[in-house]
Amino acid sequence: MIADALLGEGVYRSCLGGLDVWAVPRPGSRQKAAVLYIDYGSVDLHLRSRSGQIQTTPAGTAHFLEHRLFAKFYGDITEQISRLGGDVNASTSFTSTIFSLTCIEHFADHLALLFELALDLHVLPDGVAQEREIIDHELQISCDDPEWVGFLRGLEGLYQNGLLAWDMAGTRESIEQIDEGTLTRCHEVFYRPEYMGLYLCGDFDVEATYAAVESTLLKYSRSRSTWDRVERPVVLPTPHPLRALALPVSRPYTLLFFGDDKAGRSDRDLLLRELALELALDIALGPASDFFAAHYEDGLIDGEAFGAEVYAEPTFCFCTVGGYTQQSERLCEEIGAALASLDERVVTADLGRAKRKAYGLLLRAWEQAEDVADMLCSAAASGADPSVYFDVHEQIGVGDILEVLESCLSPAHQSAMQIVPSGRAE
Amino acid sequence: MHTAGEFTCVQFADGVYLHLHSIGLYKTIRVDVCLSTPLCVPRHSLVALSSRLLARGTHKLPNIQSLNRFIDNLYGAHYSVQVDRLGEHQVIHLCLEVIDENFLGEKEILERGLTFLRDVLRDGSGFQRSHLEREKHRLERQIADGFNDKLGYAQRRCSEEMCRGEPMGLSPLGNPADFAAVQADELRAFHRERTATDRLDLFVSGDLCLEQIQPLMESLFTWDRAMNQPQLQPLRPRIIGPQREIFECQAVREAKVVLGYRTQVAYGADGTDDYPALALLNLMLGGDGPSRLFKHLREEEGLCYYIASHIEALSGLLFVVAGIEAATYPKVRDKVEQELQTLRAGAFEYREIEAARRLLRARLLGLAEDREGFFRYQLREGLIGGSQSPETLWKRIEQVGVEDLTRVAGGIVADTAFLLHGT
Repeated sequence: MIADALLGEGVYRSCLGGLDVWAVPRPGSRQKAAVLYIDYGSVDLHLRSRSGQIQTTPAGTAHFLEHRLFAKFYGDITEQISRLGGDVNASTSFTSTIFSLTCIEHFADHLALLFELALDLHVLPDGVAQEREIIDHELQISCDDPEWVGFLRGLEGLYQNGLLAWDMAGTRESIEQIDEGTLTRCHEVFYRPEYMGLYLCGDFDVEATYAAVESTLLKYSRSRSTWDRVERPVVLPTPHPLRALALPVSRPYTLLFFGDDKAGRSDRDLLLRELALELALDIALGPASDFFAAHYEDGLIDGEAFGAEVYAEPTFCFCTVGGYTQQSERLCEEIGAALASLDERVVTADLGRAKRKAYGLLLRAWEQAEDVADMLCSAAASGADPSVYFDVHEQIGVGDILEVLESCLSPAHQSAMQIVPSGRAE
Repeated sequence: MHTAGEFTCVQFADGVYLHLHSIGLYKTIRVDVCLSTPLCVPRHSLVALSSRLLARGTHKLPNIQSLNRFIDNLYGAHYSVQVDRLGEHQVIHLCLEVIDENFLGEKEILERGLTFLRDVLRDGSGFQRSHLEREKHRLERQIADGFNDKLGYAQRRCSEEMCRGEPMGLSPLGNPADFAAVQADELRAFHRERTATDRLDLFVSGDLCLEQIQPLMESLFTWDRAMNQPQLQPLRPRIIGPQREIFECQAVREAKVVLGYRTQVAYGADGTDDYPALALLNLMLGGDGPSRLFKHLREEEGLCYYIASHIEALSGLLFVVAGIEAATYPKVRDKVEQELQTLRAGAFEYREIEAARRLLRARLLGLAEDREGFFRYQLREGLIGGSQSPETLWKRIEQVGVEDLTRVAGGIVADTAFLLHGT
């Protein structure tokens, strides 16, 4: 067990029965948080048999499974967790399924339930049919969220019709094909300790908790499936123009997507890349930039309705910039111009401010127990130690930022997504 | 159970309160400054516009860029100005979170941040004509953008229709129809007066003690005060008319339904109200995952993906919100009514009550380490002139019996139903 100090707190890492476990004990804290991470997301559609045969599962299987795991033979497991006073949540992203738990008491019992939630699958045909209806509702809800529709649409522009452009929940058609067999097989393949991680923070005894986790894992141990996962390929951008979408919105919604040509990094390189992109976007377009000052005044952007995000993972990396505006075309031009005008002189002059801001954000992500558990999980998913965030922050320089401007934040790597108002029926 | 910090409240001027949550857990210090006033027409539009002008800067930081650079240089401090509603109050809320100096090689970060907040609230340099005209447009656009979040939109429309003529029917963002007539000088004077007369709550949480923070806060937030803000009337029993249903059509795929109810419960300062029973009822009905609505309407009937209930403690309103297929609306409405009917009839399971109780216990005792939640809880207490700690509220929840639940459920009356549906 390695104990390392980060911001005055010990970070413990261990491998229990194949499961990667990180813990930050916090004596005196009431809140306890646990994140159980499964390295299985919506892009993981392919399975390989021992003989090399490839099977493709329907889109939305990871998400369907995440939903279905809540159903146990006695009913919804959330009830058991609530009865102990805890809160549990689950989500599926492109590359992960995450179950997160917060509680103030009975941590060991809660953890046992968290493992039961993820590892004990009960699928019955009735349940599958019912879940399909519920997920279909969920898909319909997503269609009414212009920002989500715009996000997926932009990814379609950036990555053509690749897996990154599909809703994590699948489609109406694909969920029709998901059955007991698919769910059981995918659960066997992906929900294995070696593809999972557990991230903990709160006031608990590390040794005793580890011992409990180990014995719980033994309870669910099973032989390997004859199928295994297929490595995710690195996805590089192939941007192409998109036609505008008409939706019931108050005014146009525009997002520029920038895909990273150098995706496919992990550990320190990935976190450095992520930070370089964040700093570049902040210097060029952030609230302290000349761009923001000029266009806040002329009404092109609004503070609340304009922003940038970086999505950096080992197999893909992209950024989005934009928001609601009256003038879509002009916004795209001005963003492009602001990024193009960023040179060594501007970056050098503003890097100090941008780094101070980034340091504050980093520290604030290490506050409440659930933030800490999330951050441990993000670091591990990037293949890094959480202290690497701080190392990278210290080491990053002007050259790193100029590099991402070239290989990601430039017109050649860009796709523009526009939603226009379809008219209001009132 | 550990004690999660210590909470102290001191009044240092007429209507000015310092609330300190001393807690060693955090690496930042969070300060929330709240200027509160009863929601009423047309003041609500003036308050909303003032909040926008406060965000425009101070005499030392006269534009957005210098202001944002100042904040970034305080090590990525988080800063926001918002106008919000809490029950029937409209609150201008300034929030600043700075890194604790123990984690930095620099001093006086907190003092610089607090001085900045005082300047934002008091110096009035953002109240210029050119700024005002731009902010009117901006606020109008922000209000119009509310149309994009369909569930939020349906919720607002339901409250607006249900509470027409009451403070709960007003938007804290004001009414764009009032904006044209507002002048910068008039607005500056209005805001100046408010800072002298309206209730001001200053919340600080972090690794600090009262001796460290009180003198600093007093030196910054003391000026001539004369409390004469319009007082909130105690919650009047509403005249409940016939139940209404309102339908609105937009190009949405999934219909959004909001069912509004009135309860006879008003959260009060004296700790004798029925809020503990209402809070439990809400959790059992739809306030959390394994609730009745979730189980029966989503899991058993597959009528929706999303269904939940929530209560507005200060105004005694209960809402049920769901995303459904428009054609199933009558069925959903009737099923929800049936669930309420079983509650009114006193059909509770012991396990269900205990599960709700344990959940509330965890939420209330966990509040001390949930900064946003704890701040909102204490602000609510402050606004009603109460001082009930989460622990005290929990003790009251422990006492709630089936007869209390039945009585409170019996007082829940359906009022307005709002359905946003597709073409």
